[in-house]
Amino acid sequence: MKRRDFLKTTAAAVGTTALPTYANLGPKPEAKVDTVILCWMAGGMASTETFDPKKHTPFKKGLKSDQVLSTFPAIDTVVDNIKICQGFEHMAKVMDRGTLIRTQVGADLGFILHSRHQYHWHTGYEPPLTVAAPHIGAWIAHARGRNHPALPAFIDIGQTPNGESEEIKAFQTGGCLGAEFSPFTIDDPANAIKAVRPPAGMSPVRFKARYQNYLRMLKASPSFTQADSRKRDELIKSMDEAFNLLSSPAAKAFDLSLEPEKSAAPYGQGKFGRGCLLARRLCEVGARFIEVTSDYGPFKRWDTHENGHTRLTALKKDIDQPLAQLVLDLEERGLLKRTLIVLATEFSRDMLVEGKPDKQVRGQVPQPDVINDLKFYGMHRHFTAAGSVLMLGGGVQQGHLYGKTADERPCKTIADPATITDIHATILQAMGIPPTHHVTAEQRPFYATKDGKGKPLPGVLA
Amino acid sequence: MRFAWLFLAAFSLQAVDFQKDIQPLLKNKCSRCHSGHEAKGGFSINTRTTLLDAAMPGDSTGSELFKRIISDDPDERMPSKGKPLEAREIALIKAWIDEGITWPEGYNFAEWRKAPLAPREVRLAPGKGNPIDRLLAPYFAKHKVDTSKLVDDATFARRAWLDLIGLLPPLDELKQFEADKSPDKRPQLVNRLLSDNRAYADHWMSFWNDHLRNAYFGPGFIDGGRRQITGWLYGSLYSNKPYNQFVHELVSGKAGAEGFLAGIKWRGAVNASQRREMQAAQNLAQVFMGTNLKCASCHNSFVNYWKLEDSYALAATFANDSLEMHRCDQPTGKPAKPRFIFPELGSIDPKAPRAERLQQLAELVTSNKNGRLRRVIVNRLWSRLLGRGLIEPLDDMDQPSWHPDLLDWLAGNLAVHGHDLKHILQLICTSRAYQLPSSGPAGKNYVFRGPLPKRMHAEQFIDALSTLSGQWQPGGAFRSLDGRKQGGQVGAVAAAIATHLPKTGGDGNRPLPHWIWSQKNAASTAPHETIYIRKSFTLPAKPAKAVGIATCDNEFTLYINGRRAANSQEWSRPAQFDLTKHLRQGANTIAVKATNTAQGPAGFILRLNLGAGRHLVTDNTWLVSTERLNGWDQPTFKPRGWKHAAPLGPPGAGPWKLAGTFGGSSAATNITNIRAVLSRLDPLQRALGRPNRDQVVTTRDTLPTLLQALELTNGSTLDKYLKQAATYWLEKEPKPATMAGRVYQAALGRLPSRTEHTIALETLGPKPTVDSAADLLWILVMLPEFQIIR
Repeated sequence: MKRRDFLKTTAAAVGTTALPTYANLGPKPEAKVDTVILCWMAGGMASTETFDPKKHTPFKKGLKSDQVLSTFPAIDTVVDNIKICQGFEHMAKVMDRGTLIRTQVGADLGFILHSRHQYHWHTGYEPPLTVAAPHIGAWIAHARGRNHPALPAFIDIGQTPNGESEEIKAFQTGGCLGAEFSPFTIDDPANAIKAVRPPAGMSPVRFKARYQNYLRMLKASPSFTQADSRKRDELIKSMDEAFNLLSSPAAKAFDLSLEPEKSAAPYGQGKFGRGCLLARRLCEVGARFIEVTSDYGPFKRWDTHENGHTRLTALKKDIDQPLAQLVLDLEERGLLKRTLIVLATEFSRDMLVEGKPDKQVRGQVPQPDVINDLKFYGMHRHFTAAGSVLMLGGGVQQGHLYGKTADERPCKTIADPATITDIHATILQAMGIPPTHHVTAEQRPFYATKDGKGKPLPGVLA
Repeated sequence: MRFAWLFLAAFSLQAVDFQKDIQPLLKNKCSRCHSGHEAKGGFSINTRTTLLDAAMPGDSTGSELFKRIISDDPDERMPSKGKPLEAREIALIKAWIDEGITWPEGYNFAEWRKAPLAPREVRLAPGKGNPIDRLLAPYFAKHKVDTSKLVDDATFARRAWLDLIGLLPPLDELKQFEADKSPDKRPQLVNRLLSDNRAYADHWMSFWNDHLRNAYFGPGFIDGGRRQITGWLYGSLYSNKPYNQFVHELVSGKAGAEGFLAGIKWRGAVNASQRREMQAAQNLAQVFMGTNLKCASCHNSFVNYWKLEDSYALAATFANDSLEMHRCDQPTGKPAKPRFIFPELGSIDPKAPRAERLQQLAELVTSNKNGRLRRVIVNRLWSRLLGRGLIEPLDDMDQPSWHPDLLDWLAGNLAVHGHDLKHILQLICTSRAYQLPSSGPAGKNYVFRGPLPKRMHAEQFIDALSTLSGQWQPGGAFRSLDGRKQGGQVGAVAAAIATHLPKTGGDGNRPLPHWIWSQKNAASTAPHETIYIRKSFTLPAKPAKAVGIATCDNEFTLYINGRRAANSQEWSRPAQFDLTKHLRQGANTIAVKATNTAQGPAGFILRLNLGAGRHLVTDNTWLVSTERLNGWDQPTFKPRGWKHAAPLGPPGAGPWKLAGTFGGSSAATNITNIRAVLSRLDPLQRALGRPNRDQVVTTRDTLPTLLQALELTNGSTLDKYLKQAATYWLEKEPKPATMAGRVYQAALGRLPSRTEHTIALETLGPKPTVDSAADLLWILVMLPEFQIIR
């Protein structure tokens, strides 16, 4: 069983932009899990091609676009009433380990933009805002602290920096919670070990000697007046923590080369798969919140604006086995009960409808009425009226299906919609964090779920 | 659930904060019936005294107030209307009572505290000395603060350098300063630092980028939805634009400054409270008026006295067309009428076109009647230098000040002195208050006992590494805008400098100075050498004004009639000087010691404007010698055997391209020694707290964190800087004993103790390498003594 005590985060109290006030005083639900792994399908994963199969129409020349709902046939899973799309054969075997939500409904942000919907999903707030909204991982780090004394509470794996020539993604930060709660980022899991070992070219012996000499020099340097001591102590403490992490056995979790070949193989060589393997290793040591992203880049990976069918065949291959293996490995190690794995994406896709069925938006990719070329066979438009979210592991109902979508186009939500706000409330509740968890930023309360109003999805939590 | 508070109260690790926790709660739940003129049941929460009718400090369970909020009886329970208090609210009230019912002095629930808007004249008691100290004297006496001891020269110099221009004091200058015996050397240093226009602008650019959220890259640029104000801002700081004009230009949307009002246009549907006009209203209110309109952009505020109508009135001033009010993103059908949030300053003509309305608004904001404008900025400057404001939070200027007289006097003095921000900085830095030993931490009942220690900001830290390595930021990539009008900050700054450097001549016929040296191919390369340059000239009369500008690759010292008058160590930062008082009727002599510090291009250039169309410029009539002869810098010296200088070309020539500064035609003006402020946000700077600028940031988070420490311990960015610095020191001081001492001095401004020297030597090893030197540098820059400005 994982540690459940609230490890106090470093210097959580004084001096941060937002001071925790009665943040932790709200009616606090019991924590069902201690770790969240968010598997982020960046770019918009089409639900009718993945976890919400509709009528399958195989490709042939002269196919009418308005007839195509799924380009993959449905397959059975270990749960009787849950079918998913071909290509997820490994996932089909673990669908009894959690809940499938099919009715994620996106916010109405007009022009459907990845960056804004990604911001919304990760922070629970629709941008823009006057206050920098924290990532859900930062909230969890803030509320629950670290799960291992040396490991950062929030680790973000797999996003290539500056993907959109912006300085950093505004949602990938601690926001108004302060830098302490920002993610420890690892752009490439294959190089994760670099993040926790001495700089390139520095031997461990030299690294240790450097730190020892630093400590000696610190001792030798003239003592500050008492007035200055706090600032000094904070600084020394943070250096101490960094050294501890870098020389801690926990750092080995970052080194994928230490994973035996046999257990590494199912994760494959893809970046996302390696990210899942890294997440598993970190869970074993004691992680609090991990995001493994499929790496967003405009028109790349799940951002399929053309050739959707062909690309999804490959994309599913990238995630199917690693994700299933992550579930099985955690289960085998007795960790799954206290870990919640969430698979999510900013919105779904459709072949014809952009945005919501009743709201036309600009900027649609061209889609011919009649398909003669395979490149038009797939879901290429952004669809926000129904998307799939998977919650596997502890804290949630097992083998459960939540929400219903229409079987005909538009395949929108027809029962039990799940807003981002409530999806967050569900995840937070499983972590023992109330939806009203908040801080005071610029004299106003700022909540972990939008305006403190999130409600866990009924019947999803165990 | 009912008694959940008992359990929850145990989580209250932190003292309850009246302002943040209790005030909003009582305001929302109790004030309608129990404050102002209302006192239902004879109970009022207006003041602590009236509240104590129903509460006993330290005894929640014995307090009527507490009994009422937890009561199960609907007739007894408070609030009598609406929902009962939530468990966490109950826990807060309980903790607050048990902690003794803290209450800010003078606070009254009857209404939100609203600070007076008008300036207030504060008369200084007769006496001598810095007015700040005179104003503080009774305060210090009352609080028994010992002000007899000031910090030593090294501490003062480090403070002044880092606070005013963001740089570490260079070792030789620090030594010179410490050796200087003149009683006014501290004010002299402050003046000298403030007169370095480029260093000043480089440093304060970070401050203003944060406040005006001027980003070089970021969201919004993608489809022209955002504009930089980089060139305008840098030019304004470089020329020390009067603060009222600075604000006027931002508020009226002057060319180059429009980006501030334009805000960020987000693609797609945006909440009404984030439309661009509302962003402008919020930012203007926060940055220049020190008040929060964000709450009131959606609904009537619950953190201050602003109403939805006020925010919309200001926003409507920026709108091209009529602006409809929205409450919580729902249209109300009511059009907003343009006016400033402080209508007592005057009105805005709602029928006037936008440009005119902005002019009217700018007039109101910068009006002399608006004392708040100046209180806000002097408070921000005070906080920057002393670590904490005269009012906190800086963005809520309705809070009481710990010294209202000092605040109002400084604000008034800013107006009296032409809104010169450097004047206020100078006043503060020359006060004894600034020179007191650092104090802190700031507790609950703050008493000013001296500056709080400050952690270096990201840019200060990176620039300090540059000072230690001689390597500055590469600017090449940022000389011009990219396809999204992002970047180009270095080019914008170079252009701003070229525009704002005072022209030393007025007409097109003025003679062009030439770069000169002792040999004609010096623009390509010259040896490491020092040369001596002279020019004698006759003046028919003492000129009314004689100002000059000069620079040298790499460094020079200029003497006029035997007196040292100017110097510069960096060719891209020409020295400006005033020779008026040194010149005389008849013969005058300029003597220059010029050094090429390493093999490479060398040149010296000067223009002196003598008034009445007369100029003195460098050309081949100047004499040079490579030998240092006794008395060479004196006017009486006879330069026998000296050669004529070799002209190397006009100002735009050679690698220097300073046509923008010295005149003449040339394509581009060049700047080097680019500081961190103009670099792109990298992981190291991000970890050290440099914000992305989607929101206004008026105070940075400088708390050390694990992520930051990791970046400092193994980040590749820092590693690169350290290797550069190590290479530099290996070349400069290859012997370990000297290197240890010099590096120590350069980093910390003092010699190492014997123990420190031993550790440094052990780190360096008998034969220092890049690795061992980098290790020593790492150790030094990680020391709190290095990173904290005491």
